[in-house]
Amino acid sequence: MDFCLMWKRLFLMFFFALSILVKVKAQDNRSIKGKIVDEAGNSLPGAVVRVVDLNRGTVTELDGTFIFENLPIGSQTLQVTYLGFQESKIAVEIPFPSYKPLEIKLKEDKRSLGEITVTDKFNAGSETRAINMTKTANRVITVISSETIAKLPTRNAAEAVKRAPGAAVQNSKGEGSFISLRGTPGDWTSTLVNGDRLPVADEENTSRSFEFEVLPSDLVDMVVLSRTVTPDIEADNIGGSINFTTKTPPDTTLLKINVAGGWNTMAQKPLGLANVVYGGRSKNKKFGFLTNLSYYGRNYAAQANKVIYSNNFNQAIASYELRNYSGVRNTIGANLSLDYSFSPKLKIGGNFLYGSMIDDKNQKKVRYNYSDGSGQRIRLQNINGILKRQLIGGDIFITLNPNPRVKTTLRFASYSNDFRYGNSPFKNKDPRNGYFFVEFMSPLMFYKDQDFIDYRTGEAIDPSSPDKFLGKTLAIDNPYGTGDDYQNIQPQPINALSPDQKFTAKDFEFAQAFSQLNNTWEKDPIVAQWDMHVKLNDHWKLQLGLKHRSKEGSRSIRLHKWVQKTTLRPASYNLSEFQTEDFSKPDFYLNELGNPYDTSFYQFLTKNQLLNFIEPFGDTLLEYEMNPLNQEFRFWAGSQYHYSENQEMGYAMAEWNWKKWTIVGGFRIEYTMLKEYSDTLLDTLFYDVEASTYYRPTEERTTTLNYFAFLPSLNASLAINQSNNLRLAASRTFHRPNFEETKPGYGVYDIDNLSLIFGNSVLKPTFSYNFDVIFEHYWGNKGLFSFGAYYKYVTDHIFASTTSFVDEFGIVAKQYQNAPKSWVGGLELNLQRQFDFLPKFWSGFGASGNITYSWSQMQVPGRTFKQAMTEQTPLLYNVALFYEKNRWNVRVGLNYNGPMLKELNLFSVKDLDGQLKLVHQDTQFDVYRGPNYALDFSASFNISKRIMIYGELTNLLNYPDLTYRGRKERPIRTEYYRTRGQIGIKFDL
Amino acid sequence: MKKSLLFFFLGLSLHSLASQPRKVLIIGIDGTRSDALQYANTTYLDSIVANGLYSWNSWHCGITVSAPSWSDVMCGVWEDKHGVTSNSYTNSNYNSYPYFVKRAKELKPDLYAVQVTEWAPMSDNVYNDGWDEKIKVPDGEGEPTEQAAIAALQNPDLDALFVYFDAVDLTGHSSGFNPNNPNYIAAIEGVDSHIGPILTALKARPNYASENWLILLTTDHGGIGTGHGGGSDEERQIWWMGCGSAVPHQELTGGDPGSYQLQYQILYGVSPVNESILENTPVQTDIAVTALHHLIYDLGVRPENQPAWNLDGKSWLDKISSVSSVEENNKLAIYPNPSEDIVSVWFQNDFGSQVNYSLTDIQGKVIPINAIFEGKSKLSFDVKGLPAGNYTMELSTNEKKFLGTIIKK
Repeated sequence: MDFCLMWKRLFLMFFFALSILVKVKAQDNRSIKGKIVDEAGNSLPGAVVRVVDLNRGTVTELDGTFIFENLPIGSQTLQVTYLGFQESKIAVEIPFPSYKPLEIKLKEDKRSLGEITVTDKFNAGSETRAINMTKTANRVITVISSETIAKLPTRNAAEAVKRAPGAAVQNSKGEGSFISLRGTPGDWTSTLVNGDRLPVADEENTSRSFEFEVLPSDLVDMVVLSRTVTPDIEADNIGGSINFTTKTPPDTTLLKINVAGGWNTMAQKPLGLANVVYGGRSKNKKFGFLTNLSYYGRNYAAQANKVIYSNNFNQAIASYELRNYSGVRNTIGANLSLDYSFSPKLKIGGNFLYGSMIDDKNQKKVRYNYSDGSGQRIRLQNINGILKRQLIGGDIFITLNPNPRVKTTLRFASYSNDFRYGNSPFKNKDPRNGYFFVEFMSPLMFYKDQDFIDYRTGEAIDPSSPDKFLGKTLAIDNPYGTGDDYQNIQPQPINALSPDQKFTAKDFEFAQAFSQLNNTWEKDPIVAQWDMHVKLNDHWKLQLGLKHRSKEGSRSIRLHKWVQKTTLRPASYNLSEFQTEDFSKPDFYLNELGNPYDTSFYQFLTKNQLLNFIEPFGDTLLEYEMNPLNQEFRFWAGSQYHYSENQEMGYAMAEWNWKKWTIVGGFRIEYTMLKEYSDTLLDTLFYDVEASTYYRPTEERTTTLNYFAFLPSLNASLAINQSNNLRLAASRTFHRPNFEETKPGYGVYDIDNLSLIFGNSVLKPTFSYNFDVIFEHYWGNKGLFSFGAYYKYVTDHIFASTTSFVDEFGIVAKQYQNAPKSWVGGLELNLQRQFDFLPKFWSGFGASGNITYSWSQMQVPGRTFKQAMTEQTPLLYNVALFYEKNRWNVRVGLNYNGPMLKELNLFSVKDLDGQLKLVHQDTQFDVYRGPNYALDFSASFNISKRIMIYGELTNLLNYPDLTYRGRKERPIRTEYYRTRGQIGIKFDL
Repeated sequence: MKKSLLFFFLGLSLHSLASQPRKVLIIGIDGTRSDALQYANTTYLDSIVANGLYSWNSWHCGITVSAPSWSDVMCGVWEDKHGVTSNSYTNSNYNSYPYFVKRAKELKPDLYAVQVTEWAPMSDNVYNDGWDEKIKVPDGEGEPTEQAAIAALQNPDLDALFVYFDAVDLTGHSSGFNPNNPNYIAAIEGVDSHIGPILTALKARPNYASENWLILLTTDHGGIGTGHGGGSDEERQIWWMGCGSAVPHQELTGGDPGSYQLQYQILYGVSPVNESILENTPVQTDIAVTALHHLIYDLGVRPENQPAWNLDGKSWLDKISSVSSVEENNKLAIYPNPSEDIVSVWFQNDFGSQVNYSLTDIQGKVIPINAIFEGKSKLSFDVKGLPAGNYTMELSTNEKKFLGTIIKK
């Protein structure tokens, strides 16, 4: 219904606009229409064109075109300036013949270019274009060209932007998956592909932020990072937005082949990639196409330890885990882009995108359980899952330029994203396939490394007190000075019944097997968009647009479990009866920490044994499905949800160029209509006779959330002179809560952390007033310097916290809440410079660096103090040293992301009056993400104009991913990936 | 409802019960520490302590883990016989050492027995248990368990019922087995609120007056930190309660008999089991044997004397079936006694009337009482500051007067 109406409206608008535009006076012969290109014929966007005597100027569009109208009869001189190119002056005579567009070719400034830096015909000068676009943009942006991306060692689109000013990338198994700008929370940054936010479907990520693992960087032509917004950009971003543009048909025939191979030092296995781009244009230039196929396969590994704290009163440890991951990821990407120009006035085209990542993930986990329902035990978990992600979609567009001053585009897009588990452990899409665990358990045993502490304070305690709590604590929490160093946590299990106090494989018996099921998908069946640009005169441009998006999605998480059917076979199955292998190679596991773990006595199932574990047991296993008859269903009742959302958007903006000022102002409106469905448990009790089970039926609950956002914005930029810009911006933007945050019904069960996460169907969207000021200085195309400050006043920031209500059976409950008022402010410094002022060899060196420092504050209900916002990184910086000369391109770069608060612990208990009261008024139980350092090295050498060899080493510092409780001496998770290396060759035909 | 609940504990004991059908209800509350239960405000359990049989001083001689412990409770033998050492229920030997219900059915095949449990393995992994119905209810909730138990009690032919609650153990694992953990205490109080209606429903059975019920309540183990399974006193010290048609007000006391667990002996310094202490201490295996004895009492068979059954537990039926004296009913239940600091007293107060009390020292001087908790049938206070010695406590409700001697250590 909505949808039909929307279509009608959109078409009406389109034809209405056309009818107006036809009436606009056709181009007269007192106008000049032209295009600025480089010597290879590539268009140059962002060039400044001036009519010298009249002091009139304009900036070229993305396709390099410009227009001047109503010029006086007579001779005029056009002056074209473009960083990195020689200035050009051309005399023209008015009247100028209207049938003959003017093409102005700029010559590269040889002084500033290295001898052979331009090897990539397709992307000739693209880095220069990027700097020019950044400089002449009407808002604060950074442009990353495909040339820059091609130089990077990474194959994943997220990592392509990690060196950009203020960008921070979060990793998944050593690969970038999310990007955030300016240190703000990850989901405040909107990541767009060809201008659209893509649907999200992932194993763990329930935010609206797209995970980039599925999108190879080879498909990307250009990335634009916007720190301030103009009304034509989707406004559900507070941190900024990042638009990835996929490659489009080139002007000339193009074939590029890129092949590489490499080595992962932790996996001790190879990786490889291949990428082919083929594109061209018909003789009459009307039809263009580009196809791009990309494959990236890599073995990966990670070694991690994890501490599970036992409770919210003191800092004792419930379990300690040693995890050894290995796996293979295969990413396939494909892009097809077509366009056809019927005439200069009408062009149609389309882009189709496919990305898939299949991750065959294995994990061996040793779990030292200090407290366990079965007494103190060691549990060995053998794990495999095939994680499949698939993105498919595309758009078609019609661009109509009824006259040179008017451009309208109608665009329709559709995307679908899907996550599911592949055929493991069963074949043929068995619904029980998931992240599959087989667990073996030691006999009852004990840990020597525990002390008596006071239950509520963690202090030393008299062992006869009833308040004593027997627990293992780390050095900072141990009142007797006997706690383990946080970097060398050593469980001390003893098998009192064995002479050497150790265990062997025959001591471990099969305890259970389970499959964590997850099927998540989201699609945007229709994104429809209409934009119209009207250039009224040299000073005024107007832009209007409408956009509609419909979105549907679903997430379903379940558990399927097997235990031994002791009624049929009481005797246990021991690990020694199966094919096993070692936990890790000798002296290899966590050698970062100095090989502290003697893991030799842990045996794990071979992968083949693991995947063929269930079926041979036949009916000696009991199988538990997760349905209302399952006694544990209560925890899972809310773990399935689905939703549909419609977003109706519209904007109007005007750009005014006057002397050295460019001012863009306008507003955007976004109306969101969300319907979301999930189950809750009813109080009514039913009885199933066959299963002899009492159960509570479920009933669907609905969230209906409609919200309207009025989002004005203003950007002003002053081109002080050729080299310096001053920019000011003010805007209002917002952030839509994600679907897990607003879900109705019962909580989503997080079995790994034994917590229930409740949505909040009255959650409000976050709004922010943003203010920016920035000064930019350009050293030709050889570098730039910018310094800026920002401030955001934020209402209803969304955060997750350990509950303010107590669940009756003690599973930790979390809920999403709004923090009424918060703010964040920051300073940003960015510097890029090639040292062309140095002599000869040394002039090839250059350096770049950027730093973002921010302050933030939020006040959480119940806490007596204000604190930094969750997910806000106070400090991040990137520095790089490079050499680009004499066929060489070498780069060493360091990225730093500072620590940040992830999650609050607002654990509360009822006091004597029955009032809920926070147990902690300090941050020692809050969860933090640790700092991260990444040092990467890359080098390439051009053997000839067509062949380049390259090599790269990533993650040289091997700094671990860290999360911790309160402070770093109380780690939660420490994960290492080690260095990856790669060498490759690129052919360019 | 609450007020009439406890009538049967008193009045019916005077009837002749010999010819009445004997029936058993066992209520299991997983993972409930003895001291935490004393601290909690449990309307119904406090009433049982005040009126019926209780022991705060029962000890676990086996593995302090649920499946082995409940097997001790239900089979009347320790791990070396029933074979269960973990919650997987592997290596079980129920064919040789079945549940007490199965044994009772060997002599009385027509008995009708029902189990209501919140924990699936107890239902799905146990065999040769004799249950006619094994009913499962959602884990940790309590309310469905209460409803299922009440439904089972509607069957006039019901002879044995076992009802199992998991919430206290779940809470202990997530936030700590400790009397000072408010969540743990709240979980105990939550389970108590479901036990009341079950007892009311039992009493409301149409033939209740002509039935002879034995109701036993216990836990499987205590806990320390967020776990259990070890040999500490906090894990091994448990509790027992009993009430029913012929159960007097009485405290069962005994010393710690030690443990059969070699590991506890090595690592915790727990003594090996002392058989003479064991003879006088209520332990878990006694529950099955006492319940079994009750069910087959009219056949004149003592379970302990059946060589084929090879039971480890002992029947307390003789001691607890004696008709209680008025004097016994007027004695305060006091625990712990002697005490260093917190001491609790329990008393009959079926109508929930106003309670008056006083504490006097040996010279007759009135000592001010620092009450920590005043419940319907329980009073807790701190004696920390008092000089060591004997003190007399007098307590009265509208209906009754109680007397007890508190020993300050």
